[in-house]
Amino acid sequence: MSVLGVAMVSLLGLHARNVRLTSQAQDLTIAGMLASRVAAESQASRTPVPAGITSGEFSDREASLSFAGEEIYGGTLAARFRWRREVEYIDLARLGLPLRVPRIRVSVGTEDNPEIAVLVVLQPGASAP
Amino acid sequence: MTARTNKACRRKAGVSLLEMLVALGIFAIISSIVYGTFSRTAGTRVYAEQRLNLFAIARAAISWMERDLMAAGTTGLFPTGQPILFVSAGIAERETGRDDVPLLEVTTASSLGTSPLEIDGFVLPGHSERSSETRVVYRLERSTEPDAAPGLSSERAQGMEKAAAYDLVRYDFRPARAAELEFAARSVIAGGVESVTLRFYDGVSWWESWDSRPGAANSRRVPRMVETRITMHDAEGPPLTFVSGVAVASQIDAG
Repeated sequence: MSVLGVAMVSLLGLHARNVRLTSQAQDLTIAGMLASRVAAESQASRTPVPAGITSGEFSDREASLSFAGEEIYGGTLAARFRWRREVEYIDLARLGLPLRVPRIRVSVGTEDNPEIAVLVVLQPGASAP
Repeated sequence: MTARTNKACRRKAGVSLLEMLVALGIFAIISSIVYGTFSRTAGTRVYAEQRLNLFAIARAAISWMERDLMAAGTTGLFPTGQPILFVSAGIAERETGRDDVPLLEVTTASSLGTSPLEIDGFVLPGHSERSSETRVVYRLERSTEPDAAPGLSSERAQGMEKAAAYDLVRYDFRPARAAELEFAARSVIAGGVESVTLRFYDGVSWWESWDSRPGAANSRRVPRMVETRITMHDAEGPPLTFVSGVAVASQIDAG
């Protein structure tokens, strides 16, 4: 009985780990798509994006659709996710090429949680406003 | 005296029927608890894997569309005098009819390399006879063979019977000339789709649809960014909406 018990507990642990990993994979997929969404906004904006850090949450409510606002509609699965955008301007003087580098970090839960997706975009020719 | 001792020893060494029944009962209860736990965990695992499969299909479908959208307006072709085509109804939540504005129709650069232009008089002297330009059309079509859609399990197919679900189909025209759908390469890029929505940002405001044809609302223009949303059915639970976005490379200027 005790041998059986130990074996079953181990098997249950493996099952639980499998489910947890699957859930993490799902979060990673969503985070990647949402990071692309924020990065695209950074690229498409006609207003020069200032250097520094901005952050906000993704919403699952259609009414929160806003380009300039802090909440971005992220779909039915996005309510737990947060985004943080760090914009840096690098002047490659030797090449005479200014470079804008937005880094998009997407995390789940509170702000203190580590990010699960990071997307870095290199935008040559973009000068600091 | 000896007979008494033997009786006592027999009692100590053996197991009574009552004891055996109690032990069996405990074993049966524990077994049923363990079986129930296993069964629930296995069910959760199967469901989680099905969802992960759905996520993979959604990710792949969005990648297909974004690759075409990102290269819109950069056909890799020398100037032909042909206007760039970028037309979208913005939303598809039912089967795209023959005469309907498609979910998306765009000239773009193919990632599959170049192909012969095959049009007499089209090639200017000194220019290539091959082009990477392609015209792609996205439509929703009712699935004729549910199991043929990529990644669609039989459980999902059964679940989808209850709700309207379509295939997201991509038609690739090479060269990018106007032609009937029958002449295009057809690929089903996702099954189990309830709706697909595209929104377009021109740098100032959002558009729910886009039409770049001469004289239309967005005449000869391509958006700067496109937001893609795809709503798909799971075997159980509510539909899931996936959102992503892509900047159109040709429209992103410096500064």
